[in-house]
Amino acid sequence: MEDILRISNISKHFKTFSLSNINISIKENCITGFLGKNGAGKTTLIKIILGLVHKDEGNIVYFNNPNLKKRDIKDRIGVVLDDGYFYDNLTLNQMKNLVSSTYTNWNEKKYKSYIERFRLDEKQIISSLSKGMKMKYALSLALSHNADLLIMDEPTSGLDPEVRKELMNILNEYIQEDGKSVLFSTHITSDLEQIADEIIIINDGKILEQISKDELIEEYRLIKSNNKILEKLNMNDLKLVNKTNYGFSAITDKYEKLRKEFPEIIVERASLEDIFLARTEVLENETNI
Amino acid sequence: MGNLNIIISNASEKPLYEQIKEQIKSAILKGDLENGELLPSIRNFSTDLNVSILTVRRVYDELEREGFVSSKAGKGTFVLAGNKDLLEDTKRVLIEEKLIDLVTLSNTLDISIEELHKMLDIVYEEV
Amino acid sequence: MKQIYNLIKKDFILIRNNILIMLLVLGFASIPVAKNTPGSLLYGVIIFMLTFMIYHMISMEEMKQKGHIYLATTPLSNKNIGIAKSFIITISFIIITIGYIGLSAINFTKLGRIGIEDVVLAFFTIEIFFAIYIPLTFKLGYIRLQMISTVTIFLTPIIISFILRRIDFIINIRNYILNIPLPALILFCVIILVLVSISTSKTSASILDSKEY
Repeated sequence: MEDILRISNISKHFKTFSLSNINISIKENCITGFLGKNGAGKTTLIKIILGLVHKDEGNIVYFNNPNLKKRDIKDRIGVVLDDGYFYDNLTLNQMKNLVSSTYTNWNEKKYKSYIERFRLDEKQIISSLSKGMKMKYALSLALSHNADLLIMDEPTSGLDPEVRKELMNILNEYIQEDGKSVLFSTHITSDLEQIADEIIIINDGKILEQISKDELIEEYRLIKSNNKILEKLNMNDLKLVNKTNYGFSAITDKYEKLRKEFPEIIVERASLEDIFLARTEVLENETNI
Repeated sequence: MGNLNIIISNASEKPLYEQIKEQIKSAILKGDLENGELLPSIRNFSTDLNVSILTVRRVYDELEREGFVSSKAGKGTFVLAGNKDLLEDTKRVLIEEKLIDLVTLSNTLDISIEELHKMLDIVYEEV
Repeated sequence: MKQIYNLIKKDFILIRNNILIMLLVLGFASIPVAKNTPGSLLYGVIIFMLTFMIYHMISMEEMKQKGHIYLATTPLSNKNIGIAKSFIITISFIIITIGYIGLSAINFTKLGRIGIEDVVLAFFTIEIFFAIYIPLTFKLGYIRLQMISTVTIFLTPIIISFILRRIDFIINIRNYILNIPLPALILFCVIILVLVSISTSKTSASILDSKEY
């Protein structure tokens, strides 16, 4: 599987925040989820990839071709930004005319089909769109110029579950075509649980990990038992321990060992959210050492 | 692909790739998937199964290495069930693995080979 | 070309709601002075104020609405952004000039008449001014731009009185222009327009290329 985007040793320093030594790659035909808490540096890194923010150091190779011109790179990327960043006074149609004239492969038919599918009114003023409608409009623009890479910054934040589901369906359709890839950032793990192939975890301006979603989920388990057992366990094996008067639950990657020692422990699959929290906890500790 | 059923269990302790791989393998061994049949594209399969494309890729890679499928660039991945000897071998290997467990357990429990034969006959009738 | 056309259209749509108010205010403000002010001076002040205000309102709306950030992710060429802006100035100039000439032809308005020399002089000044001002707005951003406009509005009377004191100099230039044949004047304006557009697009592009959002 080829890398559609290869980011090496990127750094960017601001007064109060730094991205340091970012090394990641986005694989072709993959939906890559970019997971991190608010303020972890997701938007900054996406802006660097899009050329909206300039990197201090490092190198990005787009579409496996280090010689591509900026214009040609942008021509092949579809973008959905968190705030939309449209001219609010314009109608959908007016903004579309402006955007479509910049792409070499604009497909008006495709655009119209998305507008119809999302039940958007082209004559409407952008400022009157709801958050969900704005995202759908942005998606219509991003998917109508034959882009090979779709980059989305927090596309699901503030949307109701139905619209989120619709977005997931669209992404699944888009990715079926050979050579297409998606990168989207989120702090909502359930989005990724459904759809991501690979997950990149970012925390405090550093990449903690790039890993296949299934592998990440298989690494950890949720265990439950009574508090007597908890006393016998090594706390270093446990993350996110939640103890009540009646028992405890915790996340662990030592579940095989624990199950052998204490067969009465209940072992279940953990949610990505718990794993993410446990993982950031582990790695934060590791990086602190 | 009408004959291929894949059921992924979250309750199972087996990793996802192993669950998928075993079910494809058994479909090939049982003849549900015929020689030369085209497996779904990696992307399509992973979306339908709701697993990572990297997991399906691993399954296909391992199946290819074990000689169950063959992938042709640009065309897809095909079932290789024509090699009857390999299939028979694999079937035998699968059973032998279980038998080894069985014999080892019998030895530790002091069960003679005659006794084991009798038990096997009874169980074979019953199942 | 399509990009430039769409950019210009976008800019005018952005200020569509403000433009009428601006014209009304200016119209009422110039009625009392129209009678006693020579046409050349009134035209000069009006055209400069209007083009400045139009351009300024566009820039403000643009920065407020942030659409330029989305555009920065598209392959839109930054050179075209510069060219579109300088065309906006030229288009505004032409519309306002035609409007002024039209209004001054009606006796009722009491607006002083103007000649070709006034138009050429104003055109030259405005084009040169915006060749510098357009890249500057890209460089400075919203808040500093607001400060600049406040300062400019505050300075306007001082600038006008300064110009009035040098009125002889300007009259000399006007007389000089009057002696040039019309085809040469038109050629001169076209050359200015081309040079200013090229310069604006180049300087704007180099500023926009290194800009962060």
